[in-house]
Amino acid sequence: MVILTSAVRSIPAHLSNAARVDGASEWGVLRHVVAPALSQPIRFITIYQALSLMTTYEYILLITGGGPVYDSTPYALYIYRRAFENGAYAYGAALALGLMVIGVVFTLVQWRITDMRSTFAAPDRGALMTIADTTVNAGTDWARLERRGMLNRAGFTAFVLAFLTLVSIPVLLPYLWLMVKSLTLSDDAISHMVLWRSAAIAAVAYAGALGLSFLATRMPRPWLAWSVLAGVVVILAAILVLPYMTLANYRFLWNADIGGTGTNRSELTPSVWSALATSLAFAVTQTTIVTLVATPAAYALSRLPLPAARLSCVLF
Amino acid sequence: MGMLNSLVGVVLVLSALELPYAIFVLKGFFDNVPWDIEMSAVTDGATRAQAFRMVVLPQVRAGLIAVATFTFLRGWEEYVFVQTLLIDKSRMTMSLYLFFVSHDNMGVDYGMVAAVGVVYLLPVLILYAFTQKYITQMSFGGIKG
Repeated sequence: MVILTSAVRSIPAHLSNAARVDGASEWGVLRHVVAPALSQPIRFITIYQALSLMTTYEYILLITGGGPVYDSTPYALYIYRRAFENGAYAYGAALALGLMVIGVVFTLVQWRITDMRSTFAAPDRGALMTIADTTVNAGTDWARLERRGMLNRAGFTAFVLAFLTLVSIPVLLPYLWLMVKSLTLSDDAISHMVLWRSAAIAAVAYAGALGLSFLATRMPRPWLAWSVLAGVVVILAAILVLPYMTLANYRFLWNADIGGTGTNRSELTPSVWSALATSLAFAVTQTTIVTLVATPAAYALSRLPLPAARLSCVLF
Repeated sequence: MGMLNSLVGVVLVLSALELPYAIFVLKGFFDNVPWDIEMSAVTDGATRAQAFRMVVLPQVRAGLIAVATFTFLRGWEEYVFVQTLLIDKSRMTMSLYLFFVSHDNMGVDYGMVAAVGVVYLLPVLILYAFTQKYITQMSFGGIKG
């Protein structure tokens, strides 16, 4: 998603403005200006993700463990279970070799089909993207076109807002669950009620913020409206949700002994601060190594006329 | 080689796995730096390394920060390798901590899992607050915005 966002942002603004001046509706701008710019990132993401997902097994392992009896086990998970749970390391290595062959063949086929070679060509600075063609006859009713354009934009904005709301609900609800669940004790009926109420409050806050962002420009003191909205949300939360909140779930922060949760390990789990420190050291060290090694390597690949760097483009 | 139970082994493994993606993306950024300014730096008397350090690196600074952020996140979330290669409990990362909290004999305490999750999330949110500008500027290999 980040790659696509940055690709959209890197479209020069004058292209979509030219399309709009030529009479393209917002849909036309999407189809003729934005979509062609996204074709190259999408091709890369398809190949990259296909190869990456062929070899990932962590989520399946964590959620179903491979299914009732190997029912939801893909190839990679089968390798993992054979090698690490049954101890057949050599068999797993042979299976992994087969997976590698399959992956290479699959990627090469995709490479051909999506014509990835053209994405390595130097960007064609001279060509402009095709602008939506429109029939502008003599004697055009500019006022009507302008009104229609405004209506188009309003409808488009409404549709985009509805679409974004729908799409962001499954993305944001887990975070809301995480926050609220961590602040309530695990009593099933009460935590259900608290979750529903906090979801309702979040919906009210979202609708209010959406409405305010349209209306606030017409008010003499927009900060007043925003603070009223914030106050309403806080009061709602205080009445409906706050009485059930507790910090007891965070006791691992100051109490290193959470063996009281009953893990069956004989040793005590260390404190969360040492785990955080180890995680930080791990991630920072790894980042440093990768950055220090990748920068000269990428520079060399980009500048020096190494035959190997062009090999992939020549062969495929 | 004696690295089975140590953090060094896992760091090396994950670095090796992250390198191809990092090199690929950084190559795209280096391709966007025009050769002319580098050549003019060399003709002004800089060595190749000096030209690289003083002229090219500042131009790809945004890309470097974006790649570093993604690599950091990949290391922050790593679970499989630390689970397999760190055998005793003396070195534990946050992903393992979350695993231990959620594997309970007497039913999972979701409140505690959620609380550990929130603590796990917070450094990532802080990191995003500082690097979001650089991540969204990252244009992958194409025309830079």
